[in-house]
Amino acid sequence: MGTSRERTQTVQVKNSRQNQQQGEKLQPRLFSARRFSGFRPITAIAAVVLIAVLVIVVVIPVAYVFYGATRSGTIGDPQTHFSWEPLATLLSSTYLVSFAGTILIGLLVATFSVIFGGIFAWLLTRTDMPFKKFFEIVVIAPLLLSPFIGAIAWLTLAAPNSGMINVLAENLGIAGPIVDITQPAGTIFVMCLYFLPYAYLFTSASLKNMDPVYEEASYMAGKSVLRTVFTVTLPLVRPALVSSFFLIAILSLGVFSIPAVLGGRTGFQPVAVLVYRAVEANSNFALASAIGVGVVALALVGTILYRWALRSSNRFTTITARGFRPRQMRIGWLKVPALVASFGYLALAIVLPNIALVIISLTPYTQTDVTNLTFTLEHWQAILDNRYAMMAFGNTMVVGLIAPTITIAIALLVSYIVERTKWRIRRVVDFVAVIPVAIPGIVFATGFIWAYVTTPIYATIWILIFAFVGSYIPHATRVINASFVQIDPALEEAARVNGAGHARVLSRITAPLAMPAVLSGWILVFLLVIRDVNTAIMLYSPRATILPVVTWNFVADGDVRSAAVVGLIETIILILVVVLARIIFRVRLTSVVGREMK
Amino acid sequence: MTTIETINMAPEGATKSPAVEIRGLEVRYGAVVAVPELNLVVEEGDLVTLLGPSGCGKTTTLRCIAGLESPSGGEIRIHGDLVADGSWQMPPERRNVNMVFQTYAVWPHMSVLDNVAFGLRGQFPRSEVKDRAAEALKLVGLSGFEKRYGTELSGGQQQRVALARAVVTEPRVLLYDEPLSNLDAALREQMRFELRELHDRIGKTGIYVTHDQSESMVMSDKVVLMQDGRIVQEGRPRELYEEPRTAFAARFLGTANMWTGRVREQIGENSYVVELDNDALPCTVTCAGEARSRPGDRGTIAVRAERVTLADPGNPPSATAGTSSWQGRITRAAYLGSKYEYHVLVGDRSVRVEAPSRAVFEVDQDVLVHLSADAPVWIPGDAESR
Repeated sequence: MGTSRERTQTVQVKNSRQNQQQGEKLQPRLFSARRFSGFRPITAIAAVVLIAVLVIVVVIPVAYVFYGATRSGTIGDPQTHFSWEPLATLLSSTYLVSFAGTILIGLLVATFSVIFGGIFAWLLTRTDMPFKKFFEIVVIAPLLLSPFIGAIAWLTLAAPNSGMINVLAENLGIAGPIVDITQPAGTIFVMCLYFLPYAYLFTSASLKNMDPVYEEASYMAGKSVLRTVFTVTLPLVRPALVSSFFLIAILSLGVFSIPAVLGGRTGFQPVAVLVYRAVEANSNFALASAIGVGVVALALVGTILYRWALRSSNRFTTITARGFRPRQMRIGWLKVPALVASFGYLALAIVLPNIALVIISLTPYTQTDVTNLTFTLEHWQAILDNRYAMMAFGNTMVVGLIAPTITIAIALLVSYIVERTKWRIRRVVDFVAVIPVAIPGIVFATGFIWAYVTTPIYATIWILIFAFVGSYIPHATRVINASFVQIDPALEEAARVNGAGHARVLSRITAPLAMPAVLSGWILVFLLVIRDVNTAIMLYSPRATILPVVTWNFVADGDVRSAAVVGLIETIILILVVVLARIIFRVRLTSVVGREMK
Repeated sequence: MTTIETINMAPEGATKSPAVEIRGLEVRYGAVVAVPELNLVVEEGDLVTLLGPSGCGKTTTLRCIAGLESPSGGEIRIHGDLVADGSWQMPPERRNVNMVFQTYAVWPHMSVLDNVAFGLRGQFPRSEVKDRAAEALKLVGLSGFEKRYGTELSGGQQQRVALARAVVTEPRVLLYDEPLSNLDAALREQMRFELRELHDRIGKTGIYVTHDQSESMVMSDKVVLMQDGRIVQEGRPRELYEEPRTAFAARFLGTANMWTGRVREQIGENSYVVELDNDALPCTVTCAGEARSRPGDRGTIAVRAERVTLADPGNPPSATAGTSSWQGRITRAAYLGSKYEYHVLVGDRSVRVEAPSRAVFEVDQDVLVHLSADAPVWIPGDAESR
């Protein structure tokens, strides 16, 4: 028996030698990169597919944003040539004012979000405030709601004349509109409601990961709780505060939906709205791309600052394996303002907007007497009978299933190549996979139009799917990466020495171990896709439209009631998916949005 | 530079190619050189330990053999087949080696049987896969645990699963990466012998990495002591302990007193009287190894703490020729159960002594410190560190 085994061994050895030599010749040097050679075909196929997808959904569209910004004419014009003209247009006062205002709005939104998000994080992780578990969900729940629908709700609540709050005030004899959401301050307010959770998640993650031993050492040194907060806790979470500040500032640059809904056509127009107007009004895609290049330049500056802050936050974060429960500071009478703020946020971000949407979707006309409302289901019936809306519903479901699935599959491959192989191409893959962070969806979409207007995917749901995959690869990759960090590489190495190639290691070891993150990541991307209007608004076509676009079109036509109905349908889908994920896959809400922040 | 030293234990070794042959191995991470140049030959059937402090390159070397790390230069051969050189590397899954990991790396999402069978799937028919895996589990004493999951096992049991998984693929070389360091002390001592016994039963070539000197002595036929990515000394465990060739080797294996000094006179073919630095204390040394020195040469004396004997000055034993005898005073005494550990002040020099627990001395007691001529080891050379 011993001898026969030896013989099989030598035969195996010989075969593998031959394979290597063949493999070495067949494989492109890019992959073998003087390190590993002898790919199995499936590994090579996966790598080629990954690169093809990244090129199609990221590299080409991004390149076309810059291409489009330097064209003398718009898409389809055969006479176009290279020109600085679209970019030069940006130097006119209209655009300069718009850029300055957008930056100001971004900085203000980031400031307020970080202050309030940071306070919530501290209250919910370090104090004895009541109902903490409940408020933890309240503070992150707005991430799952569509800011666009929130903006519609606030328009119905606080529009200067017809807004419910103003109508109610008038009935009570208070003169004039008491709130006006259509001012830039209104835009800042609604943006803050929806960006505050980002600041909260960054800061609370930092606080939760912070070993309380630092704070305890401060108490031992005789410092009071408040002095400890300012001399120890705050400096240690400062990187988290700074990085969330820049992230929020970048994200706010690309928000089209909130100012477009609230500001209308007359008020201040932030740059994201100008991109849309350039296309909507004049089909001037070159100008749209040029404005986009300006936004990308700003976002790049923000991204560099963000990554810089994030790196120092990783340096500061002291992750300990042991579970610990930080000392709960007794805040006494401060509980009262803390609770007022928490319930206030609950009311402003979640309760009031949804009540407003429900009321408006169920009432036939604007009614002044809130105590005696007339209800009707006619708007709901109309939407359910609207073939266009129902088609959009079907498309939304299809896009919502396909886009996250492709995105997560790509993210798994990206993370595996970047984190677990030594292929030279991994640095390129890593870089390409983060590019979309700095490209707001509405700008990214102009690149897709320039690149794919002549291809068969244009005007189908596939261009939407491609754009979503491209937009959300960075989010999914972050989620998967965070889970890879927690997988002991020895588990994969053990599979390698047991004879498994890369493909088998990924499918049998890494992916199953990362399954909780895969599910959370899928749901995160699903939520982002379902609520996205910034990308879809540029890429939809009559046959290939999705629910957020339908909502937008109702708003644009002044039919807020129908918009409210579609918006509520979207919200119901979002909630259903989160609840189903919790029941079927035991994926928690906190883990869906929390993982990305790691 | 390290010289290649092959200690042939297999008589037919000259005709067969060695199990593992490493020539000029170099591993760099950017500007950091983990292994500058390493040469090592492991004969078939041997169990060789790479021993050294953390960061000495022992794990890096092991991982290069496994294919989990990329050498920057040099070459590695397994059974004569080239598996890696500076520009090319055979992927680990093709090398037919297997490894027991420090963290066990038992896959938590698979049952014990699936863990062990992983490397066999696709290689053999289904029923044979199961039979072979079951056989391997029987070998490590885990029959009946097939359906359990990794997380439901104790550390020692996970260790056995890892071992079964490594042997079941019948690797050409078995690699052990500090497999016992995550176990608690009592279990670790028990597992040493068990692991050695299992390894002997399998009869494979093995390379074992550890930073624990006593573990290396139990586990291996040959110990390779490493420091800063270089091999300092290699040999049988007893050779390394009894005849350290560098101060580092003397210090790393066991407790040694180290004193620098200068040869005063040569009194025999291999015997010297050495004058210790600072207080010019004379010490007689008889070298067993190949160290050659002449009067005036500098070097280091290494004396194992257990080779120093203490005596009551009121009742001195009859001195034999070549025994160095010094006056001293006990400054510290610690009872360790099987032995006493003393610190004895001789002049301004603190001497560490391990004595059997029946010989009791009190702190502040005057004692005679005896060193027989064959107790100290003379390490020529000025450098204290190497």
